[in-house]
Amino acid sequence: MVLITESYFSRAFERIKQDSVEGNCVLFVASDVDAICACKIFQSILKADLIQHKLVPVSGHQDLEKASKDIVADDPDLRTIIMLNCGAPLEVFELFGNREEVKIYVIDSHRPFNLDSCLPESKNVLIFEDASEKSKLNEYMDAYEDIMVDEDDNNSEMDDSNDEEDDNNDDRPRQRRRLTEKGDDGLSRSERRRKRQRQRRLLTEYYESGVYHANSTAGQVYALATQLARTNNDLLWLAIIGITSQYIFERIDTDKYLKYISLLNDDVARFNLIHGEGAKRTGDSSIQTEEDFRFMLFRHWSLQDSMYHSGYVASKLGLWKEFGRRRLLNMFAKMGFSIQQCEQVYTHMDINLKEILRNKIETVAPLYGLTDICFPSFARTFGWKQRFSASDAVYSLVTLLETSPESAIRLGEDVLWNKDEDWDALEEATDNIGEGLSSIRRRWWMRNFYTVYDSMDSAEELERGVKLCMKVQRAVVRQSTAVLEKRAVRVIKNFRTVVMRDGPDLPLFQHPLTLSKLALFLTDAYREHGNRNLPFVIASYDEEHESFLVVATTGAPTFGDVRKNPFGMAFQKAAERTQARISFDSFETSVLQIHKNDLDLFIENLFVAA
Amino acid sequence: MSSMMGESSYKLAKEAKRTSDMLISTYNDDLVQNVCREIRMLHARAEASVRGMRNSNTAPPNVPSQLTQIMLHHLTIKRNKRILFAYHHQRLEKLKELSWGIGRQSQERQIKEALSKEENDFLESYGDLVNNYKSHFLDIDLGGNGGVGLDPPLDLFIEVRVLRDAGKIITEYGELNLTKGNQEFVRRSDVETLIKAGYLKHIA
Repeated sequence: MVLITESYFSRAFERIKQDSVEGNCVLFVASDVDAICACKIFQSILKADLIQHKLVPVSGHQDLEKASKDIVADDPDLRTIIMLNCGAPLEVFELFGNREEVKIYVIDSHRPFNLDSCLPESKNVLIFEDASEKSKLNEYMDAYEDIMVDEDDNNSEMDDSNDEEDDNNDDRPRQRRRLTEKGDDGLSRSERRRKRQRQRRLLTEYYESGVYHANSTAGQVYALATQLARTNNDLLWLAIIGITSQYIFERIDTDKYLKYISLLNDDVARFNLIHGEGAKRTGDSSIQTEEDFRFMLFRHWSLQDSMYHSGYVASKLGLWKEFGRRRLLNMFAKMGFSIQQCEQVYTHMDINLKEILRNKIETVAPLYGLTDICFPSFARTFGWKQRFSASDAVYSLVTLLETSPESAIRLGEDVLWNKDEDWDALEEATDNIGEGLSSIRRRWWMRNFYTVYDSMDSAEELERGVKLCMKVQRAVVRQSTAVLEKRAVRVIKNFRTVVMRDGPDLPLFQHPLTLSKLALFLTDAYREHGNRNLPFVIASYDEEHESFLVVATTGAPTFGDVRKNPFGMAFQKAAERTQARISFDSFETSVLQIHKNDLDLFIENLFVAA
Repeated sequence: MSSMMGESSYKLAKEAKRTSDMLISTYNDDLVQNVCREIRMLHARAEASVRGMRNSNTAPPNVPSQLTQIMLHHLTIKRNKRILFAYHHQRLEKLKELSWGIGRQSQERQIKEALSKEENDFLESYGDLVNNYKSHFLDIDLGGNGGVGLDPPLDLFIEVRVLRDAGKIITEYGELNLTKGNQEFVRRSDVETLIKAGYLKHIA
C-alpha cells in the first residue's frame, strides 16, 4: 500500500491520466452525501482531461462484490479503480481479484484502515490520507508488517484461525496466536517477545477502539482539484456541502471543522468578489460566509418550529416536556419577539426583528444553556429565488437520499424522483442477495442516489428536499417524544437501548441515516437530562422482511465532540455468540439488519467496553 | 352579437394549447370556418358603419359610439387573424418536425387522416424538400428523434446513464460494458445509436 498525502495528490492523478490512455477507469461511489459531492468534483476533473470513466453507485459490501464479479472480472483493460467513501476497512486488493496491473485508489473517510492493504504485495493500493495522520498510521503499519513477517517465517501452513464465522465482512484482522519466535534481527528473544506483545496490543487497540471518521472525502478530492488548479465556485460549493455534512452528523469534531472552514474561507473570498452594494444579478450564484445557527432549516420554517425540531435546542431545553416548551416561550419573550412573530414563517417575519435576531440570540441564549449556538458556515444564493445555507443543502440532500418514495407520498410531499429507469426490474434483480437478509431499501436506493446526483445544482430540487426534510424531521421529533414519554428506553449494562416495534412513522425509519438522526436526537436529549452519557442502540422493525434495522451511536461528552464507535466489533461478537441471523452489509459498521426473533437475545449479549 | 365576438377563436386557442403535447390532432375544420365567417361578418358590419358615417356627413367627434364600434370590430378581426395564424403555425411546426424525424412510418396513416388537404400537400412537398437536402449528406444523420440533428455536437465526450443492460459494446477504442444503473463518460460517437435506441440517457 502506498499512502498518498496531499502533496502527492497531483502525482497520483498524473498516474491515473497516463493509465487511462490505454485502460479503463471505474469509480465506486458510496451512497451518502459526502461521497456524491466527492464524485461530482472528481468527475469534473476527469472530464476536463477527457478521461473516459464509469460510475458505479454502491450501497454496501454486496454491491461491491457483485460489481467485482460483473464489471471488474470481465474487463481485461481495466487499469484504475477509484473508491469514494468506501473501501478503507476492506481488503480491496483481494476483493477485486488480486490483479497486478490494476491500481486501486481509495479515498475514504472511514477509519480504521484495513492494515492488510498495507502489505507489500498490495503495492497497487493507494490510499489518500492527511499528512497529520500519516505518522500515527505508519506506526501501526510497521507493527502489522512485523507481525505478519514473523508469522510467515514461523509457520507457513498455519490455518487461518479466523475467529469470525460470519461470512459477510472482511474487515477483521487475522490475529494469529503464536508461541515461539526466531530472533534474527539482533534483539534477544525476550526483548523481541516484549516488542511483539506491544505491537499486538497496539493493533488490538487500533481495531477495537472503534470506528471513526477522518477527513471528508469531498474535502480531499477538493484538495486534489486545488493542486491541479481546476477549482471553481461550483466545486467549492460541493466541497462545502461534503464537509458540513460530516459536521452535522457529528462525524468530526468542532476543531477539525473549524480548520477546514479556515481553509475554505480563502477560496470563497477568491471566487466570490463582492461587487459592491446592490449588485445582485439574476444569475448570481455566489457563496458567502455567514454565521449559521444550530437550528435546522430555520430560514424555511418559523423560528419556533425550527428551534423545536432541532436536536440541539430541543435537548438543551427539554422541549418534549411542557416545562421545556414554556422555557422556549420565555426565551422568545426575553429576546423581545412576540409569539406571533415567532410562529410566522421566517421569510414573513418583520425585517427589523430579523436584523436584531443574531445579536439577541447571542446574548439571551447562553442564559438558557444554549452556548455555541452559532457556528461559521457558508450560504449560496441562487439568483433571486433562494438562498441556501450549507446546512440547509445538506439536510435537503440527505433527506432525498434516505426517504423512500412511498414514505414521501405518505407525508404528502411531491418530489420529482428520478424516473429514468425501470426501477421495478432493478428491484427484482437486487432482491436476491444470497444468504443475507433483504431489506426494503434495496428497492429505491439507486433511484434516490441519482435523484440526489441530479439535484445538487438545482434550486427547485433543493427546495423540495427541504420541504420533505421538514416533514421527516417532524416525524423524527414525534417519534422521539413518544419514546421519551413512554419511557421505552432501557439501560442495559453500559448502553441505552430502545426497540421500536410499531408507530405511525415506522416505515420512515428503515434507512440507517434517518434512524441515526433519531438516535442522535435521543442521545442529545439524554445527555442533557439523563444521568450518564451512554451509547445508544436503536432497533426499528421492518415488517415486510421480518427483520430489525439496528443502529448504534456513541454519545459524545459534549456537543460538537466525537467518540469512536466500537459497536462494529461488538455487533459481530454478539452475533457469533448468539448465532443470530444478521446481515452486515452497509459500509458503516454500526448498522446491521437482524432477524426479528434473534433481536432480544442479541441485545442481551451485546457488550461494549465503556 | 356580443356573445359571438371572439368566442370561437378562444375555443380554437384553447384547443391549440391542449394539443400542444400531442403528436398532431385532427384539423378542426368547423371551428376554423366559424372564425373565418365571423371575420367576414365583422368586416361587413364595420364597412356598413363606415359607409353610414360617410353618408351622414356629421363630423367624426360627434359620434363616438360609431367610432368605438368600428374600432372594436377592427380589433376583433385582428385578434381572430392572430389566433388563426397561431393555430396553423403550431401544426405546421409539428409537421416539419415529422418530416425531419425517422421512424414515424407506423403512424403515417393516422397522421394523414388528421390533416386538412392543404396540410397534406404541405407535408408531401416539405418531405420532398427534406429528402432532397438529406440526399446530399447521406453519411451524416440529420434526423430528429433523439439523433444528432442539425446542431453540430459540442463535446467529444458525453455523460450517459445506462437505462437497460446493453452488455458489452465493442467500439473502435475498446470495449464498453454497460450494466444497468451505471453512468459512463464516453465518446459521443460510440453511444449515439444507443441513445437513440433508448438504452442510454444523455445527462446534460
